[in-house]
Amino acid sequence: MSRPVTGHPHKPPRLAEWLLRRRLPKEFAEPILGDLVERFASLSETDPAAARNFYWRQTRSAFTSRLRPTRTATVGATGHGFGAEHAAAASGLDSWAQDLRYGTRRLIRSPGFTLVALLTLALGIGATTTIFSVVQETLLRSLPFSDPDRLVMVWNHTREEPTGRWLVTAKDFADLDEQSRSLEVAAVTETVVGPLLGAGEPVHVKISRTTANFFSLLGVEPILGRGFLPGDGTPVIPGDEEPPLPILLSHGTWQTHFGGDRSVLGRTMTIFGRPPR
Amino acid sequence: MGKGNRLGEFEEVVLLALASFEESAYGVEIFDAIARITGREGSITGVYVTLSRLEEKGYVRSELGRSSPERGGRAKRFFTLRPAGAEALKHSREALDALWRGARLHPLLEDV
Repeated sequence: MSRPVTGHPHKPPRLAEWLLRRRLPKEFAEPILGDLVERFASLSETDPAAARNFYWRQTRSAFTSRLRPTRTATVGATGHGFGAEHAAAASGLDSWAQDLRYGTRRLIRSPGFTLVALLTLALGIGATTTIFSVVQETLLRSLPFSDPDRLVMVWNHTREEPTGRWLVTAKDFADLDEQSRSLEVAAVTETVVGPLLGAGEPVHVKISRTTANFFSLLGVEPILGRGFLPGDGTPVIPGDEEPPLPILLSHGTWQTHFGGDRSVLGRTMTIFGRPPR
Repeated sequence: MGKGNRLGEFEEVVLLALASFEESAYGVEIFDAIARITGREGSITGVYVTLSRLEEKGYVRSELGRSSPERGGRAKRFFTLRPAGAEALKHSREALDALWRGARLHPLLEDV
């Protein structure tokens, strides 16, 4: 018998042998393993790789073979095979593997049907994933603010349209802020789309005007510079010209239109062609 | 022979392989005989499962031989064709012959 360079005799793959011992009932295992060892040794003399491949092929087929012999009433039958006492104990893996093989054969024989089924599955999975992604972002994921479950949005509506949503006027906001016992703090925001000029060409962005406490109410801090303060826009010396209001750029606008340039801090910009007021 | 005694396709192959031996044969010998009959390598596990089923039907008999170091200390199981098994093979051959005799053959099969 030829030996490998290490000097050890060729042995069957240990993992394959381990799998077979666990798969095969005892009455099958002893003779089958013995046969495989005998054949492996014979093949190893001339081609050890072929011997290993043979052993693994037979291991795989042990897992796809149905181990439980069917019982048939026959005249003269002994009523039991040498492995029959394990028939009742055959694992559910047998029927599972059989069903899988049957299903696979049917699918291979009907390529058109299989293709349509796969396309339908792909469409369904794609649509479900998309819908879930949207739902997760809009409904399930909590808002990235402090105490998001305590945030409320207040709208106006009319008697004629009780479900309508109308903006709150400045006076209404002042009354709300002063008189409401349900709201701890209130801020207001109004959003339009307009040109912002900071450097180079004007860029059209969403522009929101807010009260100074807007970001502190949400519990967010800018990553560069400062947020709004109550004294913003108020002249230091009464009677002097009002200074321009501070602008807080969104992260997206800063990255997209200003290249994430940190020198934008302190730059004077105009909105709608004039400094923000 | 009733419907329940009819040989399955692989049962017939295994019985034929065993029938090629005058006396008993063990797993590897039957496995090699099947490969000669079918022209391809089968599953040794499938052979043993079928042999167990054939023994259940009374067509073969098996007995355990002695263990040997070449087989990792494991014994061979020897199988012998029983008269009922030979009868089953004969019936299977006769049924096939009757089928062919009774069929009106396509011109392409004139030479068969």
